[in-house]
Amino acid sequence: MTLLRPLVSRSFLARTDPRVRLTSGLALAILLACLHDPRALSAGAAAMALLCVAGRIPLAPLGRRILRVNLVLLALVPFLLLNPADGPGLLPRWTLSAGQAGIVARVLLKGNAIVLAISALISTIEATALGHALSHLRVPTKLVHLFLFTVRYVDVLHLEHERLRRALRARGFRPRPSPRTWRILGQTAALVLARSVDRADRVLAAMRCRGFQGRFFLLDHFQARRSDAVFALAMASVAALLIWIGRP
Amino acid sequence: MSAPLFVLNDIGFAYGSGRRVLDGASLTLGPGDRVGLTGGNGAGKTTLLHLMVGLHKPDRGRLRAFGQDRVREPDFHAVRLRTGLLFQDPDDQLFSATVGEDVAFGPFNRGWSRDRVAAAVRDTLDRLGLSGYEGRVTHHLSHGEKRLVCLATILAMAPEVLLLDEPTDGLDADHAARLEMILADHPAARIIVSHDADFLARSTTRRLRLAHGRVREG
Amino acid sequence: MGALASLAPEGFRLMHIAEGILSPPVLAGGALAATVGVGIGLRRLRDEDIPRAAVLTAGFFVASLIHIPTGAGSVHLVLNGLMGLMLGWAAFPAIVVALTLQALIFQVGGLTVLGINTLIMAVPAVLVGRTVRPLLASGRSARTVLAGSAMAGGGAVALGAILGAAAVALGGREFHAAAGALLLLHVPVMLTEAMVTGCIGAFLHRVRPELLVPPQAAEPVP
Repeated sequence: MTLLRPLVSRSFLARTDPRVRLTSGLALAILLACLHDPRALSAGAAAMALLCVAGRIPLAPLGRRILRVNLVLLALVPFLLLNPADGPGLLPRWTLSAGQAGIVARVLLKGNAIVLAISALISTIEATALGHALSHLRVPTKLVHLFLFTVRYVDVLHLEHERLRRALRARGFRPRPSPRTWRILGQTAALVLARSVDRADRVLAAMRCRGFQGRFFLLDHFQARRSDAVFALAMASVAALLIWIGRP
Repeated sequence: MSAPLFVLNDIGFAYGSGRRVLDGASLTLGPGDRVGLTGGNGAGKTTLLHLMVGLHKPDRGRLRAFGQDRVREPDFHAVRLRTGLLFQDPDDQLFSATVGEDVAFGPFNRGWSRDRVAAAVRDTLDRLGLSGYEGRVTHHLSHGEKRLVCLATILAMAPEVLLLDEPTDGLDADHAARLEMILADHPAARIIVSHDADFLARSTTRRLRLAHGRVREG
Repeated sequence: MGALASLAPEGFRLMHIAEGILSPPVLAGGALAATVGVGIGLRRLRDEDIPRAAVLTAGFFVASLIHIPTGAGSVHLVLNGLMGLMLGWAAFPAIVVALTLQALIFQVGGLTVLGINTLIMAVPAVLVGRTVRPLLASGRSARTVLAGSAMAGGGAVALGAILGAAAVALGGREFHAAAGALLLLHVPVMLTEAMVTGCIGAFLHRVRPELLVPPQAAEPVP
C-alpha cells in the first residue's frame, strides 16, 4: 500500500501544469484565509466546490477530507459560544449573539472553502511533481531535495513498519492501554528510526559510488501550454471576483 | 598482457564489532576479466566489493586501482567514477524522484554537459529496453524494473569495471534473462557475486571463492 | 464516535490547527517566523547531510502514524521532542517537509496554517533538543536516558500545545475558551508522548546510542 497517493482526477485539472495548479491553489487558499465577509466566503466555497465537481475529484476521499476538517471545526463551535461570566456569577455562560454567530459561520465557511481549494488544485499533484514545481517557484534547492528524498523513502519505511507490525501480531501482540504496550510500541518506533538511519547510510554510500560530492541535479519536466494560461486566467478572475464581493 | 585494473594484496578488514571478515585476501582483475565470486553467508563478499570502491578501508594490505595506490577517501573518487557497483537492495541505490534523474546523477557527477548527460540517459534506457521510463516515479516501479534501472544508473556512467552484488536476486525469469543478455554484451571487466551457480557458469569465465577471509580459485 | 474512530487510522492529527480558525496576521507572522527557522536549519544542514536528514524525516513521519491506546481513545505520536534531540536545528526543515506531506495526504493542518503549525512543533523541538541533549550526553545511565527522553517528549508536546493555544487565543476574546480547551486536550497526549518517547530513548540508548545524541550534533552550537 502506498501512503502518498494524490487525489486522482481524470479531467482538465490533471492536465494543467503543476506549477499553475500550485500557485493558483496557494494564492486562492491565502486569499480565502484573509477574507472576512460571509458572502465572499460563501461564494468562494461555492466556486471551489464547483471546481472539485467540474474537475471530477473522486467523491469518497474528498468527502473524508471535508468530514475530518468539519469534525475539528465543529468541536470548536461550543467553545466559541462560551463566554466568560461578566457580571454576577462565576460560571461561564453559553450565549449566541449575532457577533458569535458570525464568527462561527466565518470559521466554518473559511475552513471548508480552503480545504476544497487545496483538494482541487494542490492535492491532485503527485508528490514528486510537487517537488519539481516547488523548485520552479524558487523554494531553496536544499529544501526541495529534502522534500523529494523524503517522498522517495516514506513508502519504503512504511512497508518496513508494516512488516514489524505484522511480526508483532503474528506472535499474538494486541495493543491495549498498558505500560507493556507503550514500551513495545516505543521499541517499534525506535526500530523504524534506527532502520531509517541505516538505510540513509547505505543510500549515501551508493550515491558516493556514483561520484556524489554534495551536488544534486534536477531535470526539467514541465511544458506550459496555452490551456495553462487560460486556466491561470480563470483562477485569477475567481480571485478578483471574491475580492470584489468582499470589498468593505 | 595489459595492466590490471584492480590489484588487491593481502587485504585485512574487521568491522567495528571486532568480527574479522577479510584476512589476507588477494585478487587481481584484468581488462575483460569476468569473475564469479561465491562464498557462504557473511563470508565477506559484499564487504570485498565495498572495499574496492573505498566504502570501507582495509586495516592492512595494499589496494591498487587503475594503476595507482588507493588509500584515503579522496583517492577513491576517481575509482568510483570508473567503477559501477550494483547494490543488493535497489531501494538503496535509487534515491531520485524520477528514473531519468536517477540515471542522470552519475553522468552529472562525471562533469558531463547537459546534452551529453541527456544523450547518455536516453541511450542507456533504450539499450536496457526501458525507453520512455525517464519520467516514471522511481518508487512506483516493480522490483524487477527497479533492478534494471539500477543497472542503467551505473551503465550510464560508462564504467570500465562492474561490481555486481547478487544482480539476479529476486528477479523473475524474464527480467533475469534480460539482465543476463545486457551484461553479456557489455565490454567492462566484472566481478559478479551470486548464489546462482548456473547464472555464474553462463556469464563468467573464472570462479573465485571467499572463505575464512581469503580468496581461492574454485 | 464511530465516525471519529473510522478516521483515526488515517490520522486524526493533534498538535495542528485546522484551516479557517486563525486570523491573517497570525498566519502571516507564523509563516514569516517559520521561514526564518527553516532558513537557519537549512544553513546548518550540509548537502551531504541531506540524505540522512530526509530518510530520518521519512522515518519520523512513519513512526508518527503509530497509534497509542490510552484507555480513553488512542493518540498518535508527535515525536517533535525526539526530532529536536536527533536533528537539532534541522528539525525545522524536517518538520515543514513532514507537515507538507501530511497536508497533502490528510488535509488536516493544511497549507495556509503550514507556517504556524511548523512553529508549534519545531520551536519546542529545538528548545528541548538544546536543553536535554547535554543531560543525555553526560548522564548515560539507562535511567537518566529514560527520564531525559521522556522529558524531551512530554516537554515538547506541552510547549507546542501552549504555542498553539496562544495562536488561537490571538483571534480575540471569543477564542479564549477554545484555546483553553485545546490546552486541556493535550494533557493526555503529553503524558503518553512522555512515556513512549522515554521507551524509544531507552531502547535506542541500548542498541544504537550514537543515534540518540549524534556526535557532531552534541557539540555546543555557537
